Amino acid sequence: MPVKVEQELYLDPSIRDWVLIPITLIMVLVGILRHYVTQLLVSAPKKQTLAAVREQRALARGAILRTSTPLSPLYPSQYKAFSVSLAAALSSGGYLKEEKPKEGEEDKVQNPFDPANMDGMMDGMKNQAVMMVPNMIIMQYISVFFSGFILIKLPFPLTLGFKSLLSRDIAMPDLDVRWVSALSWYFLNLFGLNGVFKLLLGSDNAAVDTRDMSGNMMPSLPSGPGAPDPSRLFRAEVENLALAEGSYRWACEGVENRVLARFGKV
Amino acid sequence: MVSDAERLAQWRTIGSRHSEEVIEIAPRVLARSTDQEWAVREQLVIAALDVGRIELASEQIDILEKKFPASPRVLLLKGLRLEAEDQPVAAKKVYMAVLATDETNVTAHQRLIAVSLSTTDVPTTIPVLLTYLDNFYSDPSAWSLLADLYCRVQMYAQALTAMGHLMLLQSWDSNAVTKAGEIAYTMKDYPLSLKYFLRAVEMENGPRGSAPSESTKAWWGVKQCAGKLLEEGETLTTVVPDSMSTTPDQLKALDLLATERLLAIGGNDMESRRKILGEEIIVR
Repeated sequence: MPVKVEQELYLDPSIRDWVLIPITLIMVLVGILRHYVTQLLVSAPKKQTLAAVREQRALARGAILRTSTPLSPLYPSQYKAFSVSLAAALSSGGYLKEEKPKEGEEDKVQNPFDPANMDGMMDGMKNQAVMMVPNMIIMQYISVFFSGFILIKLPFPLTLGFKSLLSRDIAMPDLDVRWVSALSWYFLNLFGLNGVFKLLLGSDNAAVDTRDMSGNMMPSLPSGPGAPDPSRLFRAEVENLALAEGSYRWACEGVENRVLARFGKV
Repeated sequence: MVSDAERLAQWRTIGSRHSEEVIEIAPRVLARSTDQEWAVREQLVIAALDVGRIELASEQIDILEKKFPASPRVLLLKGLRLEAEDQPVAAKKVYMAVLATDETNVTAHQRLIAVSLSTTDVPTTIPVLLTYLDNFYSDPSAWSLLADLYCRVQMYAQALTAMGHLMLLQSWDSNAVTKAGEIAYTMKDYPLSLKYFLRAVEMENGPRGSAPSESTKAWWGVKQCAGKLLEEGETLTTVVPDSMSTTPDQLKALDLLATERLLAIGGNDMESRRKILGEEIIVR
């Protein structure tokens, strides 16, 4: 079997000047443009109402009381009073931001098209549109004008597995993997310019969000449709409070002996 | 060596005032272009108002307002300026206006409480503070203030409850425990007070073998409570359950230990300290 001779292709320098550099430049500029367009489109975060804040803090309050139980700073009757009054307040629905739902309709599913929840969804859609439109246009432009162009040769050898990544739309099965086609160069830029944008626009830029998409989508979920029903969370918290009572211990219990032992008096 | 800008940023994050220094440092930082320009200006305004240099503050507020028109933070600064100029009613209006656009603005709520405290009496402020705490539970300084206010109107049981919330929120804070001990002492609940002071001692001192803490406050509390409990014959009303109460033997040992520690911790006032503790040493 003959040893494979290294392929030597000579690329026209005008390919570099008129294809490679322009594609890269366009990608960078579009990224920067996208950053500013997103800033224009995204509306300011909606302000929470006082009642909503109160509802959230009530849950946190239960958690604070519960986590402190193994070494509680509260003396026994005070702990009891705190725990019972909080449980009563939670189960009576006094902390809910809306009226307590009537029995029977408690399990109704939240309307996903409730106008209160639409803003979050619209923001996501706007972001995606800003992301998608330019990408589609550039991809179309490259595949129409530069289809089949070989732009660069990577300075290091690669295995055949990278063929589909690097030699897209070049129908030459024997071509060395190191040669990069125009469309592949576009994809490499799309995913590889993250660092450049971070340098140019700061770390929380909107130029690249293909990767951050999952990160951005998740925190917005609880406020949108499908958020857990607060009254149900409250009921769970009441149960947790009752459970935590078992592990309650006053931090000052037996403190006399601990202090005496600390100073060697026992 | 920490740079000026870093020092200012550090004070901003921990909410420390250092007003005199800020007024000195901030103009130097602002002279160079910095990406924290607006935060530094805000800090400078608050520091200037704090020491009563209202012209300097006004100058900075004007710059900030030009950059951020209708920003609630600038509005709050204007409210602070009104407070500094002793116009609490006008300041209150500003804060109310901020709350009308955003009812969750914590700073505006806090300033309203402060204004209410300076213009009206304690009994009218306490309900305002309680409403605020009902919404924003996790504000330790508000609970601390509530405890102080309750103490001022001699409602010590309520003050202890407020201290309970404060201790829950800042479970590391031995000063809060000492304060709770002092309130319990004022209520004449000496067993509870002793427990709190001992807990504070325990929190301030590391494990056995490490250097003991230099602070004497909690030890004085222990000494006072132990003395009271040893002399008092009458039965005291206390919230400490019988099963956890301090035994007479423990009391005697703690009394001796407190005297020992108070004399062992050096300081400038050793003479007067000896005089106060003196009698007992002679008795022994």
